[in-house]
Amino acid sequence: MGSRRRTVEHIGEWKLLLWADAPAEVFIEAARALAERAGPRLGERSEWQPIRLQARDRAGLLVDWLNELIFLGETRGVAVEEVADLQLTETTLQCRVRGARLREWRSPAKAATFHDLRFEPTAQGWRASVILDV
Amino acid sequence: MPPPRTERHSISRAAVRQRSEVVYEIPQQARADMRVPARIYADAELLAEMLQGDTLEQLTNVATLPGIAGYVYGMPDMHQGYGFPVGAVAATAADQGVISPGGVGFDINCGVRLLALPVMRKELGGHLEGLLEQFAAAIPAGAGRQGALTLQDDELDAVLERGCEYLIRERGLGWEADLAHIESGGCLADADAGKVSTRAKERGRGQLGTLGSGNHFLELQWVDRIADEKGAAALGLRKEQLTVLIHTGSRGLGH
Repeated sequence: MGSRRRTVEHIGEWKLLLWADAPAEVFIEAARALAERAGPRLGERSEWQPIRLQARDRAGLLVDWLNELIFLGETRGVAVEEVADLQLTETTLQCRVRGARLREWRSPAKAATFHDLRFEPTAQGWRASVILDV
Repeated sequence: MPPPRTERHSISRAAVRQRSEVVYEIPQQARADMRVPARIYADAELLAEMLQGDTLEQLTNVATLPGIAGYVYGMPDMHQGYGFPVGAVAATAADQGVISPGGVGFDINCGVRLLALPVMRKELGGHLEGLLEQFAAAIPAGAGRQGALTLQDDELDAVLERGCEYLIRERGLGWEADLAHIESGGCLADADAGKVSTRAKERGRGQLGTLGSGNHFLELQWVDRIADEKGAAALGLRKEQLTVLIHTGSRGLGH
């Protein structure tokens, strides 16, 4: 299976286009997209740590999820590459994550935004788009 | 999630009137729902770039906001943003106007400042390359880069509440006279560090004094031509003077 994510860059923003068979996989694709540009690795794994999020819908959860991952990258120096025990409802997400320890967080992403945010079913599965402020 | 946009209003070049070499205007009549005209400070080349994408559509959208006052303005660096274009300026009446989070932006207090140097271009001589190397060495730039300043919690709160006055008088980072040349003396009077989340402080603590990434930049420039003598004199700018244009801001703290 090829990549199920695509990025579009513009002045001051980074648009992520994601698609997957199930809603939970969209979140995993989002984490992969962020990790790809997180920065150089130290060659060490981080500890597992829990994440619990609540929002008013899945689109809001996607924004909160990305912001959580950006926070972990910027403050803990971790690029999240593994997601375990992911439980997703319409308004909540919980899981455990771990990833690569970074020599330096170099992601251009500062925050996920609600601008032109989409999370919707299609005939082939699910797709989402989210714009990251850079 | 904001409501989906229901209607698009493309702004064509024909709707943009030239008022002078570097001033263009979109009249209020260009769209039925505009409450004020839009004024754009740009030359023909910059305007051509602004006509790409949704920049001018976004600018005219701003002109429809309730309580909008006078004009909406587009600065020379204006480009497509989220609701407001980046580089747009607008004021709404305090008693009846809206407060627009889109105008403030996701990156609170991010902005552009021009630093006028007491040096003329000819005085730079052959030191341009060396000066730029010094800039690159002294100013941390890029995502997540740490600055030279390490702040404890109470010190970060002092920066948030007292702004430049704290940095100059208690940390020695600047001169007293600088305060007179910074908007609002470099401090918002009602700032309350207690309103800033612990997470935002954690993200921003090490970033004071850093440039950032994305569209943040620092450029050494000189005054090539003066289009407004009175305005330039008020800003203390002279032809051939060196300046530094800086786009930076809140970094992780503002998110």
